[in-house]
Amino acid sequence: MENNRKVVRIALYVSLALAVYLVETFIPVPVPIPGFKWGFSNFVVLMSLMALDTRGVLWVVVLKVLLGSFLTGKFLSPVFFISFFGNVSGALAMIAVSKTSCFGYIGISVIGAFASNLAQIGICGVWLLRSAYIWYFFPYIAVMGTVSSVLNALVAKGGEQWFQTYQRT
Amino acid sequence: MAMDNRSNFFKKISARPLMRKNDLLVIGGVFVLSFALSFLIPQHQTASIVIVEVDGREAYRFSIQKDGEYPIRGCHPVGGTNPVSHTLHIRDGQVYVEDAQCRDKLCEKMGKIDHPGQIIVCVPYKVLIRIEGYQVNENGASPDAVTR
Repeated sequence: MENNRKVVRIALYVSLALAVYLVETFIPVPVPIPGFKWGFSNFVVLMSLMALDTRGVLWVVVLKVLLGSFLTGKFLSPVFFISFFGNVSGALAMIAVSKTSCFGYIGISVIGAFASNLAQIGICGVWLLRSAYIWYFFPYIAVMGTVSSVLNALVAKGGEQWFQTYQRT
Repeated sequence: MAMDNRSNFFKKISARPLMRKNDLLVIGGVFVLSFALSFLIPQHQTASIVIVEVDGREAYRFSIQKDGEYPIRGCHPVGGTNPVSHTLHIRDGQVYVEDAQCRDKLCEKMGKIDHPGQIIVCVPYKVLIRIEGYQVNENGASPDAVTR
């Protein structure tokens, strides 16, 4: 019973994340950096972080990237690897940080975005392009990631409160 | 029974506040680090050479003063022989890419670059185009500075 509940929850989070992910592809990005996106679907990961255990969150993230790449036709392309390693590192960082009570939603979200950006640029520099010059992008990406992750935190908190009131009525 | 479960579930998640004081430190840290890193980019140099790296190795080197269109052979994403993947344009001290063979054409959208520290990247073909410069001497004039 409890297991079914968990599977349903994971499925709900994944489908919500995918819907946001697909809508997001229509939003223009101010800097044309390969694989760079606003990452608004991460508010769903943030919500799942508060509601699911570690394995559940990892399921949500991995399924989001895999199914998202199927839907956009980018599976196994370089962009897929950038987004996969970015998302998984971000999730691991957020899971680790959320074990403590030092940070609020915003802190967790910003740390996750930073870790994800670090992994994205790292995977480009070390493996995909093998050039250190890609780090020139990092300041831009880090600042924009911070802005979008603060927005994500606001949406995640607001969404949870919405769920809560919705449930009580 | 089921209702109890659910209400516990939501009580647990709303315990964490939207923001704690540490969050501001985290945001401040990211901004400070980004600004510090952006100062490492050499912007006080005059552009002189366009360097094209393919798969991390320098493959082409052009003077930025000379206008021209050059075919670039990137690293083929699947393997086999390397086809011409881009055309590199150098015009009036500005560098840009056209005729990208990949689907996203992000390298074309990166637009024109004209000073050291800027790069154009094509991830599928492992091409990275960067500009290198030399230090401007003390009176600010360099022997053959790019005229605009």
